[in-house]
Amino acid sequence: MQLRTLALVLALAACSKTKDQPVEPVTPTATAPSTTTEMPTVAKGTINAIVGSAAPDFTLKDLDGNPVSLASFKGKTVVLEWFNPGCPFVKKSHGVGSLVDTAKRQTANGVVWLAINSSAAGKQGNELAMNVDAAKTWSLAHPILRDESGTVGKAYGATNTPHMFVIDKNGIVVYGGAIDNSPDGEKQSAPDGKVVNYIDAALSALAAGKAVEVADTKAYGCGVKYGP
Amino acid sequence: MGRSLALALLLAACGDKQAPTPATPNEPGAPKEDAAPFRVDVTPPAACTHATTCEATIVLVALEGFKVNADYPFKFVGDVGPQISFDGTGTFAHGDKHSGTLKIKFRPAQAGTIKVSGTFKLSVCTEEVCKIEQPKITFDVTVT
Repeated sequence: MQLRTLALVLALAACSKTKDQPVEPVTPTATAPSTTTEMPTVAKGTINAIVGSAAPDFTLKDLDGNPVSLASFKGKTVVLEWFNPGCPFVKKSHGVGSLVDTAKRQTANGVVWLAINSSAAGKQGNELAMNVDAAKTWSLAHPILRDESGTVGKAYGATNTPHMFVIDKNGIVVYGGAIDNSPDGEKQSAPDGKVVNYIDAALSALAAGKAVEVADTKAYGCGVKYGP
Repeated sequence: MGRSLALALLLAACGDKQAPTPATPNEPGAPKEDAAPFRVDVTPPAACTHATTCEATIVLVALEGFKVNADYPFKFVGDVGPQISFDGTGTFAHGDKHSGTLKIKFRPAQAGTIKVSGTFKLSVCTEEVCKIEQPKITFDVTVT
């Protein structure tokens, strides 16, 4: 019997990085103000410990340098999307996966959508120009906020890009985890082929005044590129 | 029983060709993103009879600090044709952090030498960077 195996070693072309960007100030972690809206009780997350807790407030700058505070969206449903335009899972999700138009649809419904980039200076996805280009390429109308210090990402326990959080009108984190149940980022590996967009599901439940059925999932994708 | 295998791997550079990729500034002297080296070894079935299920083995070895992405749904998407069909997209078993094995099952329709081809969807990561790669894999199998 004659068998031959062939091994190939790849050295893949790399993408370059730009100079570091200045670190934006971040307000100390605090609790976002709550309204008196009646909402179902949220169980504490086991994978995402922040689920069931008050959303930590923050002020970060967008790509134009304008400060954006979570507290300014008091009384609204807010989605936080941890973002890194250099991460292939983010590229898949925005290119062909569940992030293709979710933000556009949901913001049209009055939901606030904020992307947060916690890549530290010098790390993948940190470059301002790369984020600006990504916003254009994927037609992102929502703010991309820069969290170079990683303070906000760590306050929420963001581990991956994409890593999603939903904050209800009372300022409680009611969902944390993956964008969907297809960890290839391209909606081609969901169990039984049935893709579940967890953010759509959570927002639909909130709109109906119901508890979020799946509130705590394991995010997939790249690790957040925090600094030392 | 003698068997010969011709294996060709065409590996796409820089990972993701399908999704729109934001332009990356290319300043002289800027730090480079890490490469994503890995090795793929393919072993065809020792024996394969037409109209039965045959199994080939694909071994992924991550190199130079990269690890096999433990959360990724590894799969082989076979190119279905008149001479061949595939039973699913394979079952990936993680080995150590740097390797894993995908068993793929296919069913040749006729005897003779057939070409098995498809796309191996894989992901390897370091602490700093993850890569999704989709190398094209092609090998010949002698079918009795």
